[in-house]
Amino acid sequence: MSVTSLSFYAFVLVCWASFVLLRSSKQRLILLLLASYVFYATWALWFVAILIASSVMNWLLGRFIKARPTTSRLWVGVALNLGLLAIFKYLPPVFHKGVAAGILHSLIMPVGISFWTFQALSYLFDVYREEEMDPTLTEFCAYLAFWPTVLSGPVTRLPEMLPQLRALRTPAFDDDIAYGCRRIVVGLFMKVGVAQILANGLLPGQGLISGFDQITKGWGGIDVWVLAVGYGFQLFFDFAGYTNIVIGVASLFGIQLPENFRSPYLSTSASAFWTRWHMSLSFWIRDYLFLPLAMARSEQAWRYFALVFSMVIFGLWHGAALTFICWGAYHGLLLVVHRQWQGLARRWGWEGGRILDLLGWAVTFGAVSLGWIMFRVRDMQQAILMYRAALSPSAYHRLILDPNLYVIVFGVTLGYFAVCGITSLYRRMETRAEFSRTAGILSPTLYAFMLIVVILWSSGKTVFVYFQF
Amino acid sequence: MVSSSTRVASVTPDINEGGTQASQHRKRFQWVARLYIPILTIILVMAAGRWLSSGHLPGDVAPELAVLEPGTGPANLKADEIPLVQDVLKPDRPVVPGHLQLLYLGNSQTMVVVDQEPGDLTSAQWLQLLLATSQKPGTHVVDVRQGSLPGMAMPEMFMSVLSYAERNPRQVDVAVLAISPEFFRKLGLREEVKHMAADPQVHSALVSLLSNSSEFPAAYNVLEPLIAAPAAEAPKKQNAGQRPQRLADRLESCLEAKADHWRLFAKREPVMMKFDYLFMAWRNRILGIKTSTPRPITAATYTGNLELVQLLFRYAKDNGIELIVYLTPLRQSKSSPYTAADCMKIDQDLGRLTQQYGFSYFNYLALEPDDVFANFGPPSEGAATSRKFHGEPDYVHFVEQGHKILAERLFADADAVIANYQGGTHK
Repeated sequence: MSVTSLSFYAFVLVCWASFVLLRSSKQRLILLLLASYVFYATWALWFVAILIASSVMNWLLGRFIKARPTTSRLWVGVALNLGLLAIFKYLPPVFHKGVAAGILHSLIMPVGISFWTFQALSYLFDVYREEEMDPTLTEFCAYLAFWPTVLSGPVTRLPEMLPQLRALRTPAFDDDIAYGCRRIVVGLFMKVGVAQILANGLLPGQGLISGFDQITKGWGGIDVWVLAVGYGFQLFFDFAGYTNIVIGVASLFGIQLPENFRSPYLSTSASAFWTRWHMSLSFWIRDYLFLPLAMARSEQAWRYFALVFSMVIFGLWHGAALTFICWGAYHGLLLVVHRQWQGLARRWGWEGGRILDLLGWAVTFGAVSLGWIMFRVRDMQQAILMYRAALSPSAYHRLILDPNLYVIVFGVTLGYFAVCGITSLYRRMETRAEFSRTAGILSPTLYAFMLIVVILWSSGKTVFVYFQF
Repeated sequence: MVSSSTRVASVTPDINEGGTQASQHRKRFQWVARLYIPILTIILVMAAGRWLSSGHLPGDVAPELAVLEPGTGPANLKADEIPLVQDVLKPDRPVVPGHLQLLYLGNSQTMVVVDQEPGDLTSAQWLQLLLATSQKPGTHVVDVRQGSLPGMAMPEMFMSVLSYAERNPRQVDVAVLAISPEFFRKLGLREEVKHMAADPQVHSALVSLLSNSSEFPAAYNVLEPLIAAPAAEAPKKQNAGQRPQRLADRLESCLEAKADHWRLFAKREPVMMKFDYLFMAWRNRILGIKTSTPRPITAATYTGNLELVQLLFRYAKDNGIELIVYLTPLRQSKSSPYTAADCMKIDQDLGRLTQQYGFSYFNYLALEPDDVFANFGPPSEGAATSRKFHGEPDYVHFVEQGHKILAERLFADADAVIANYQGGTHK
């Protein structure tokens, strides 16, 4: 059951009606837990068994660490969780021969295992840090299996979820239901409308999927840029759209989830980008990996190492592939370069002005976009071919993609920045009565437009990139 | 008698009542204010849906006719005039034991008769007629099966042969492949063709073929998603009559069927096609693209297609399927959207590969006289692409005479090959 299917919304409706009818918070919690397991079981029944086993294991580990918070106990918990993740995600690509390989390759990775394993790990780290948390088994299971987030995040943390799970209230009309519906409509538009047209194109063989997978060589310089920028936007609209949907669905039940994206392509530095892109995971990496590592020693070089290492782990989280490691290392280096630049700017007394900001934005946008090639390619050989084309001036006279793809990527890029501009203008003017009245009149037209696009595009096949992680 | 205090009391409630009424009004108004956005949104969606699905968009076209590249769209033709409806060429016609199955594959050129009159036939139908009337005693009866698709691409041709060959009983012994230069521009697979790979037999044949085809990386990349599709990305739509296995899938199918009662939902694909048309019309207008605008074939799509041709030839050879390949006729008198260099390269490569695998190949690029082709008609004729390309030359589609010329030539060239067919085993 995917978030773009009709059955998902039927399921939401049934759960929501039952949730509202129940009066006690405990009953509602049990309903959410059961609904989460039913939802997860629609992918495969045995996925639920793995999830329950992991939930019980981590809940017991939490109590074990809480009884005596030692590093060795924490490491036991970390090792068990990473072991589970490794069995499904990291070992199959490593083993190619023998009985072990046969067994590993026959296992299908439970959907969202990377997301909920990281949630479980954050609980263990928080317990080790002696944060005041004492979830019951039901609460912990509901936290790990919460059905809007179980597939692909956002990666939540127990301290922010537990109070909400303990006081499940009747959702308010404006703050929860109307807000949730708005987020769902916007999310569907982003995911089903924009991301899909980028991925598949108008006609078969015209989208980014064809540009990356069906062409093996001969890209021109402009082609590489179009594919890189286009894929960055496909990923954004796909994942941010999905996040909007799950935040909206959770909101219908009165639960607030953390945001995952905040206009990432407006970032003027690599550091800023990572506070705006896949925020729930990047903050996880920052809090539980980078900061403890960076604070272990005081040398500058060590901090830089910690930065690059953390980003390599970030890359590895996506999968056991050299391309993900390189992508992580590349972003680690971008962060180091940005720190160096900040040091230089401070020393020379350069203060951030509009021109510097604009320059910073252009460099960041270009660097991040080029990085997406490593994230997307099938292997390093393809990455090298594409980077060579992007870097050699002689390749810029050649165009091999379908003309429609250039038009679509250009249109989406322009549209993204136009919407960012309009949103910023709206935020500045929304306090004015006459403006908010006009916006109130226009909003049904906007939502209707989005819904029509979603209905029309829903006939095609949807691809969810983050599903594979 | 009413005491003053009572009066006061009776007045106060009046005021209070007025206040309560005002606040009640406000509350009622608040509910309206709260609900007007969802209600108005729903009304607008219903109204727009009704408008869109009742064919108000320009570009009145049936989706099966939609070929969006200029110069390759069917001209002067309405959806109900497609001759495919004739029973003799129905792709699902039953296999008669002992009859030779001839699969005819190509793009809209093989399906469309420009300015069609009742009784006009396509190339495939003409071929069926010629084979039937000239059948010699002791030879196979040949059943022609039309498997063409408008805008067919090479991966789709490949999957079609595979799918017809893996059916039980097998539905292809001989395949006529009408390869157009247009094939080499693209590498796509549309959804309905992807569904073919969901069949276990086809899937297993594809896996086996691709596992031994490391020398065709571009072809592998095109077809690999068909063998690697995980359960989560399995095709949404089920084949007709096929019941989904999982409860969630059954629920989804049931809901989709219910949703199809709403006209916009049911007509999503034709409406989308109209949007695509509008997009293409604007693109062509802005970029100044006409039917005659030369558009060279890119190296990448060319290589991918050629590898697919080789892969198809290998599969046919291994499975005893006889292939008759021809390069489709193109209008020669006007400057063409295909460059001469591209056409020559395709001809040479197809010639070389068919020779290598022992199949027949014919170059029919210049077969048809200019007068069998047409120009795109005026908008009043309701033609699919005429609104955008009125008066511009159609390089691909011809009147019935063109089909007859093509079929007669094909019959003359390939009759012996068909008659001498010995290979293959019916599954």
